[in-house]
Amino acid sequence: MGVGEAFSLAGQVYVLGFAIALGMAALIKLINYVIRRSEEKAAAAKDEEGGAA
Amino acid sequence: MNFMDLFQGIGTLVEHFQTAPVIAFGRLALIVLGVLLVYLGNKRVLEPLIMVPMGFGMVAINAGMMFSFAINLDGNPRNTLDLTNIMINTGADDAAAASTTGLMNIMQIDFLQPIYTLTFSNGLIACLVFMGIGVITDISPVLKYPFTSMLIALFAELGTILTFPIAIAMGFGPGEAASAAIIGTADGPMVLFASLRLAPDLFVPLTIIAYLYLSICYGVYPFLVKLLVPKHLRAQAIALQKKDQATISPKAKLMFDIIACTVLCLLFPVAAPLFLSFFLGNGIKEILVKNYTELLEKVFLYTATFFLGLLLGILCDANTLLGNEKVLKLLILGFAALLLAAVGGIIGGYVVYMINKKKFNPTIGVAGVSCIPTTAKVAQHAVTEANKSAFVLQYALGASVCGVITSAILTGIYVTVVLPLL
Repeated sequence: MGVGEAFSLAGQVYVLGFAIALGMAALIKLINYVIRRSEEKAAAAKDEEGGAA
Repeated sequence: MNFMDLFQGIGTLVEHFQTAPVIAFGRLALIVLGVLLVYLGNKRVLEPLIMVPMGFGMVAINAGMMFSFAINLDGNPRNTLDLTNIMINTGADDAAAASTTGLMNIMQIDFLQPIYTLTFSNGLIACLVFMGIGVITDISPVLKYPFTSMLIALFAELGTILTFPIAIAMGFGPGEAASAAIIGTADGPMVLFASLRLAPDLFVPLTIIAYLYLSICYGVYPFLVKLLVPKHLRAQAIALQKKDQATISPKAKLMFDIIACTVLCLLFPVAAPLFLSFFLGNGIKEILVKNYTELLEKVFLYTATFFLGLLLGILCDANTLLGNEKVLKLLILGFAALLLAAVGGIIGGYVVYMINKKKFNPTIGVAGVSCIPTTAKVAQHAVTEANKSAFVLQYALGASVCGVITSAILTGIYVTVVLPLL
């Protein structure tokens, strides 16, 4: 393998790694959003239950 | 009675001085290095959990040539714990090795042989350490600052990326170059795992260099931070935000663990053992099963770390290290990889500083080099030196944990891409 080829391969590895890692960061944002929504819904349901009682 | 036959350690040393003086001096130098590692470990200058058993192992193998059947004076390096060597030296044949009892008999010739064969040479010990790292890692900062942490960690992979072509230019093959580049992740288990697959002939020196060089994180990084980040920027406090005080629920962390593990195993099956070990360890922490947490943290992690250190020390015999001309090049590459990683991390810190309109401390960048939690502590220490009231540990830990994740991702990509080239 030549140095140029090695640079190209390392670049591809980095671009792929970059995309996957940022994808994971987006995934974390999504998880945070889903959890927050479910907690808000649960809190709203609890409030409704309290109101009905 | 012949003196040399009675005191065989001295006998082999004298023999080495007559037949292979380089090896003889190497043995003496490695004994001194072993003593130094124990001393520095005891002083807490180096990590004692690894360095003390490694130092003792290094002293014992080079002083006594414990595995003297593997002494090799013809200059060809060989792995002193290689089962084949033991079979040759004990006269065991393939038939004996084929049966479980026969194999165990051969393995028990040497007291560390079973541990080496059953945990070291197959990468299991790296996975056990990774489970332990998973169980002691709190991923809350990652969930609070995902993009900031991930971006810094990605910049800190500069060493892992640039070392690969440098190693190729120095005459290494793709597998060896990728394994040397992974030293830049500052993650010992990762180097062990990758080199066993990509460069099995060099996995001993590669792993030893990776662990020895972790001391760079303790010793060199603070100076590098001072060199690259001016004092007024190091002193910069980060204004408290609402999310800094938010509590991340165990449910959210567990959800991240299981989804990230599934996605990464799906993408890189070759590195699945690493992903599984880390996320399983972290998942167990979040499900709050005390018995499992204690098992992984107090038994698996410490047992694996102890034997990892001891076996690495035992493998540090002069024949293995000095008989291989590639070791010197690997020493240079390892140093370059870790230095580039820290420089990359600090560049990442500056990028986040610019993105956040100068309301960020670029010192945190050095924490992107995984080596959790050492680099995070280095960042906080450098900041405290400049401003006693500035607290950046949460951000630094987030970058450090992301460093572990990005390192595992890049290791997975390297193994997947380079393996077919071998």
